[in-house]
Parts: sequence; C-alpha cells; structure tokens
Amino acid sequence: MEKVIVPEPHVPLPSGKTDRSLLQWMASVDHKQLGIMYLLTALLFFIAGGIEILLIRIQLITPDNTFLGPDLYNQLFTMHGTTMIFLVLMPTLIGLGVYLVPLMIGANEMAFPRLNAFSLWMTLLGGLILYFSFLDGGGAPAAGWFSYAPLSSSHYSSTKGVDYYCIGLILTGIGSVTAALNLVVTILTLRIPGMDFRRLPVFVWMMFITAFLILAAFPVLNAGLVMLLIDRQLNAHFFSPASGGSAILWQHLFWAFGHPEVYILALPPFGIISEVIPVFSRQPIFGYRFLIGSGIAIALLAFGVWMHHMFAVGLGNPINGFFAAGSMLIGIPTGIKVFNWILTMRGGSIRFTTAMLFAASFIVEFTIGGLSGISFALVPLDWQLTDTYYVVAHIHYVFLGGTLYAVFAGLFYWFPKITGRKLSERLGRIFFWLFFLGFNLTFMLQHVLGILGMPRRVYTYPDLPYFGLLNLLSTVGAFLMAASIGLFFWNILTSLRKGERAGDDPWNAWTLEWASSSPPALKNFDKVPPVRSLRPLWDLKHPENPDWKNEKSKQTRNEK
Amino acid sequence: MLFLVIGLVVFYSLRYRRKAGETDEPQQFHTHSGLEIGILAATTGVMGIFFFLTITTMLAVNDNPAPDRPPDLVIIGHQWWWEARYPNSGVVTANEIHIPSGKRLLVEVRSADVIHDWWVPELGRKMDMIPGTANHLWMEARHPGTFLGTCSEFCGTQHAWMRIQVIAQAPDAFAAWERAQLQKPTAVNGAVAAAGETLFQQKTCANCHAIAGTKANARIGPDLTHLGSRNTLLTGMLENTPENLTRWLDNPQQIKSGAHMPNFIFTKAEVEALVEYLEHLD
Ligand code: HEM
Ligand SMILES: [Cu+2]
Repeated sequence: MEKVIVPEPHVPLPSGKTDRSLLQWMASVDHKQLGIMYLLTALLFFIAGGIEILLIRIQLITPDNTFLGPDLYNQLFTMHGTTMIFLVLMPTLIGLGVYLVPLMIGANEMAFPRLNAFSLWMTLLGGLILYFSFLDGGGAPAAGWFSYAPLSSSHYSSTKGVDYYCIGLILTGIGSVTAALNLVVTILTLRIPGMDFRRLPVFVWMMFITAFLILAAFPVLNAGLVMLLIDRQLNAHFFSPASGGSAILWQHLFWAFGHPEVYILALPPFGIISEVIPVFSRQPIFGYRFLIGSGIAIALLAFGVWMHHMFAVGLGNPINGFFAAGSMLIGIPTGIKVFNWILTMRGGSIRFTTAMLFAASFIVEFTIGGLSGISFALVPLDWQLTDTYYVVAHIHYVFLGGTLYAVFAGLFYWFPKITGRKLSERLGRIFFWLFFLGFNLTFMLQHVLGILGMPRRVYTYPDLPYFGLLNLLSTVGAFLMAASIGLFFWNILTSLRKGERAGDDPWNAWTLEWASSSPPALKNFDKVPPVRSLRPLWDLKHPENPDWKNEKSKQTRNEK
Repeated sequence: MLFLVIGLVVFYSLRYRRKAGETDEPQQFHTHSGLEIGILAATTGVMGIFFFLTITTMLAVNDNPAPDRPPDLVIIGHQWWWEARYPNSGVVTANEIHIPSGKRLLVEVRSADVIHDWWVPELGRKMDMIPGTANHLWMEARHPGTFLGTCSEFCGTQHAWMRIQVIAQAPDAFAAWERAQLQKPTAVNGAVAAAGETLFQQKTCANCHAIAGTKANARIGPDLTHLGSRNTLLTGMLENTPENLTRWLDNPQQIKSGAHMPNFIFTKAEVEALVEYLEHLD
C-alpha cells in the first residue's frame, strides 16, 4: 500500500542525544518530552492539592472540630481549588494535547517548539510562585479560588497571599495562552495531506476548539488579575466600592473567564472519550458531524452564560432570564454528545478494559454533573442552592466525574504509546472500582448536605441533624479515593519497569498516533498510511470495507 | 433523563459486551441522521419546558424588587455578624432577628464591608449583600417559630460562624417585643454590675458597641442594649450564658479567632463585673 511522506518540520528537530539526562529534559523542545513534563507538573500539584483536601476532610469529619483553625483551613481550600483547576487539570489537558496532537495529525513537531517549552515553564513557574506563598510569613491566599473583591483587596486580605495568587496565575495564564496559540497554528498548518477538517480525529477537533476558548478567555482573567494587583499594590480603586469602584466588576471579569474555563476543561475530555469509546466498542464514532458541531456550539455559547454564577447578586429578572436561557441552550449540545457516545456503544463488541470502564462511567457521572448544573440554570433553584455543598457536589461531578475520569481513561489508553508498556489491567480494574466507590460516596452525599443547608467554605459547622453523619461518610469516601490514587501511582511505577510490552498498536486502534512506534522515535514518523477517512488505520486493516468507500457511496447517494 | 442515560449505558454495556472467543469486527454502524435530529429535538424540548418553569417561578419570586416604599427591615452584613434595623419603629438589634409571622416583608440587605449573602432557606431565597449597593427581597414566615440560616458567600476568616437566627412571632407578640426593645435597659443594681458599667465606658467598649441610655452609641460591633435577652452569642456560636460570655471577654481571639474585637487582657474581677452588667441588660 502506498504511503504518504511526512514533511520535515520547519525548525530542525532537537539534536537526537540519546542520553535523556535531566539537563536534556530541561532544555528539550520535543513535543513528546514537553507533553510528559506537563503531565509530571500536573502530578506534582495533584499530590499537593490532594493532601490539602484530605486535611480539609479531616477537619470536617465531626461538627465543631478544631483540627485546623479557620486561617489555615481557608488557605487550604483556596489553594486546593486554585491548584486543581489551574495547576492540575489545565496542564494535564494541555500536556495530552501537546503530546498527541502532532501524532494524531501526522506531524513531527508542534508549529513552535520553543514556544511550547516556554508555555510549560511558565505554567510550572506560576505554580511554584503560588506555592511559595506558604513559606511567606502571611501564608497562602485565603479568599477562595475566585478571590471575590472586596474580600481579596488589601484591606480585607492584608497578607501577601493574594499577591502570590495574582502573579502565579498571571504567569500560568500566559503559558496557557501561548500553548493555545501553538495548538491552533499546529492544527491549521501541519496536518498531513489528506487530513482535511472532515477527517480530523475528534480529540484534535476538541483541542482546536478549546485552544480558541483559551485564547478568548484567559486574557480576560489576566486583565482582571492585573487590575486586582494594581488595586492591592498601588492603591487603585477598580474593585473598592468605598472609593467609587465596583464590587461586582470583579465577578463579571472572573466569570467571563470562569465559565468558558469550565468548557476548556470539558471539551478535551469530550475528545478523549470520543477516541476511547469507539476503539473499545469496535464501532465508528456515532454522529461525527453532530459531535463537532455541538462542540463549536458549546464554545460559542460558553461566552453567554457567565452570569449564571451571579444569580444571587440581585441583577434583576431580565438579566437572569437571559442567562438562564443561555445556560439551558448549552445543555442541548451537551445532551447531544452524551447520546452520541451511548449510541456509539450500540451494536458494538465492547472490551471492558480499564480505559473503557472509565469512559463508560464518565457518561453517567458527567450526566449527573450536567443535570445538577442545569438545576442551577433554573434560577429559583439557584437562589436556594448556590454557594452550598450542592455546588461543591456539582463541580466535582463535572471535574472529577467528568474531566478526571476522561483523563484516567486517556492515560490507560495512551500510556502504552507514551511508554511502550501497558498499565496493569488487574490493578487498573481495582483502581477503577475503588475510585468509583469513593468518588460517589464523597460527592453524592454532598448534594444532600447542600439541600439541608450546609454552606460551602466553612471550616466547621454546628451539630445540626445529619450534618455530622453525612460529612463523616464524605470523608471516608475521600480517603477511599486517596487510596485508589495511591494504587494508580503504584500501577504506573511497576508498569513502567515490568509492564507488558505494548507494541505499536496494542488496542487495534484507528488513528495515526498508533502508526508510530511505542514510544515514538524522536522523529515521530517517516511515512504514514494515506488518510482518506476519519479512520486511516481501519482502512489499512480492512481493505475490503474501508470507511472512505462508505463515505463516498453516501456522498454519491446524496448527490443523486 | 438521568435514569435514561444510566439505563442505556448499563444496557448497552451488558448487551454488547465482547463475548468470549469473538474476534471479528462487528458490523459497522455509521451515523443515522434521523436519530440525530430526534435527539436534538428531544433535548431542545426538555430545555424548553425547563425554561418555561424557570421564568414563571422567577416572575413569582421577583429578583430584587424595586422598593416603592421604605423597607420593613434593613439587614446589614458585617464581618462576622448581622445588624438589623426596623425603620418603622427605630429598633436596632443584632444577630437574632425578630419578625412578625404571616406578613410579607420587604427586606433591604446591605453590607458594611465585604460581600455576604443572606440565606434562610425556609423564609425565601438567598440574596447577596453587596457593599455600596442595596438589594431587596421578600421574606415571609407563614407561622411563628425559629428559623435557621447562614451567610452563604465566603466572607473571610469566620464565615463559618456567621449563622442566622430569625425568630418569627405572632404579630402581637412581635409588637410587644418591639416595644420592649425600645425601652432603655433597667437601671443597674448592685456594685459589681455598676463597676461593669463604668468599665464598659472606660475600656473603649463604647468605641464599637452601643447600649441605649448610655453614652455608648457606636455601630462598629453588635448592639448590646438587650444582650441579656438573647439566646446565643456570636451569631449562634455559643449559648448566651455567663460562663460563655466570660470566656469571650477573657480572650475573644481564642473563641472566635479573627473576629474584629481586640483582647483587652482584663483581670478576673473586671470580666466578672462586665459579665454581671451585660447579662442583666434585658
Ligand atoms: C471591653 C469592651 C467590650 C465588650 C464588653 C464587648 C462585648 C461584646 C459582646 C458581648 C459581643 C457579642 C455580641 C453578640 O453576640 O451579639 C461582642 C462582639 C463583637 N465586638 Fe465587642 N466588646 C467590647 C469591645 C469591642 C471593641 C473595642 C470592638 C471594636 C474594635 C468590638 C467589636 C466587636 C465585634 C466586631 C463583634 C462581633 C464579633 C463576631 O461575632 O464576629 N468590641 N462584643
Ligand atoms: Cu458573611
């Protein structure tokens, strides 16, 4: 079969030094090494954020507990949220994108390899600066991960924590924007001939859309952070109502970034799921065009819903109604995606590997998160439930049950490609069930706590009926999750050394990354199979029934 | 909807599991556009229904109603306590807020410092209290009783201890309470209490607190005019007993760390005198 020659990258590839010493890693501009370093950065902060939340859950185990004082508690929950969003989920998804996008589109590098390294190091630097605040006498920021003004002003947060927060997030924000730019240009310019936008893997499509979201949303955040920093350091008055500023301007700026951010953290997982489910169901993805179209719709609508975080601000019914409508509209494309994944499984021959277990339960957990999200779009419900533990449950169903489940599915799926060895399926399955149990135990109950009236972000609570019991169970769940994560790390460590050798294409998959060696050589490809459909490797393996024939016959049928 | 999703996922998972020995690829299904459009229509329909229900309820609750008259009650959030003013009678109190039952009250909420949020689930919606702006909401207790709530916007160190107690009383009982609040506290009797009264004015308590009938009239801390008649101290943190008040005055930062009240480092006798004085303010 004829093959397509992969063009040389414009920038020469990094010198192929074989010794992968520390210095070589630090100086690397190879997209695969940088992708791995993104994942390691995320891992580092994941451990930090995890320890923070375990301390918090210990504090909440009984009413009126005194394990942590309010000051430390408030620092910990602020850092936990900030860490998990900006320093764990973001680098994980960008890292997967940086690693996989070139491979999936048949390219040998990102468009701007040096910029790629710059993005990574900015992210890491920002994170380290944020964490340095713990060593500063005043302690870490303690105004919540969204640092509402005027609480975050120098008058009410007089220690330097919030300054570290601003500077750290500005730096990681710059890193995210440059990474997004790099992804956009890479996808636009480095696709292998034949791979037009109708044949782009869903994951690449989702990264493409996400990159635009990042480009539009992060500058808003960074502008807000700079304003906050100016307020704090130079006594300006953007956010201080006492001297003519506005207390809610910050909320507008923050959520104009914050809501698109939710989709920045959701679209790449949608892409991962859309790669994993088809391969393990042995079916092509159902409704490719609808999936992509709904992704674009979500991205556009994402900018029209931010005030649903502010229904309790008292902005009046017309505004609330508008943003309620936007929030419900966004439920439509999301619902379409969910049904597309389910229908992909239909008629398949499903292999329940760990990756597939995570992907299938992603559908369920994410739907729970999506529906509790819609309950906030129902404004009157929001007027009761916002800022309670119901919100805590909701965001965790979206970010853990959604994003993190998808990340786990993706890691089990691509680990063989990245390292050349498979993760242990036996440990993986135990990990899945333990995590599943712990996760649902922790967060399902928090819906109830919220409805019973427990506000979020309290370092302690009075002994009201059921509060103690539900919090205790929630803490037990959190430790189950921690144990399962420990098992996962163990799995990675042992599999790295002793795991089953994977070969180039262990899952019998269909996209181009599986046409490279595992792990890919410094130069990803010399030649790749021709791309004539969404599933080039299927066409290669099934010359009798290739997808492109199918597409063509459909086209001719339409033309008739 | 959720059950539909769970049901389908579980059903397909079981139905289409790979069977032992099965190696062939199954027949490949490509997209079915009729089904897609069906899904689109169904999700849109569900959202349409949700939207209709939302709008009708929203109109009934009425976000931030424009006041066409003075409010019945003004509540001001402070770090970390509540001030309540009754414009019709001139009563000012703190933390335990009395209202007449069976009456729809127009409440104005404000903040003295950062953003707080007023939330008593059984009495209506929650509403942010934003510095520099006055928000309004309707509040109604259908029957007498004590209703608990809490500040529900993170507002700093002691956000957890910014709990709310609203005491709804039958209208005549409420009127009697209001009249009693307007009374100055009964004259101090006993040497210890008198010493307490003097200390209160000397030790700068009066710079922050108000007690009707004395020179103390500051509004920085909670009004203490009828402190003895309240059930709790420090927004629901402690029961109002002489022992607890002693602990508070002994070292406020140990009881509610971060609270904006300094530690005066009193002697035992001084605390005793203050407690004797304050607990008899009813
Ligand atoms: C020795 C003099 C003082 C006495 C006897 C005193 C007494 C009290 C009492 C009994 C309370 C509890 C009120 C309640 O539960 O409703 C309280 C709370 C409070 N006081 Fe004072 N006070 C004194 C001085 C001050 C000063 C000088 C300030 C201002 C700098 C102040 C600020 C506050 C604040 C902000 C609270 C509310 C604390 C919270 O709940 O977070 N107090 N005080
Ligand atoms: Cu508050």
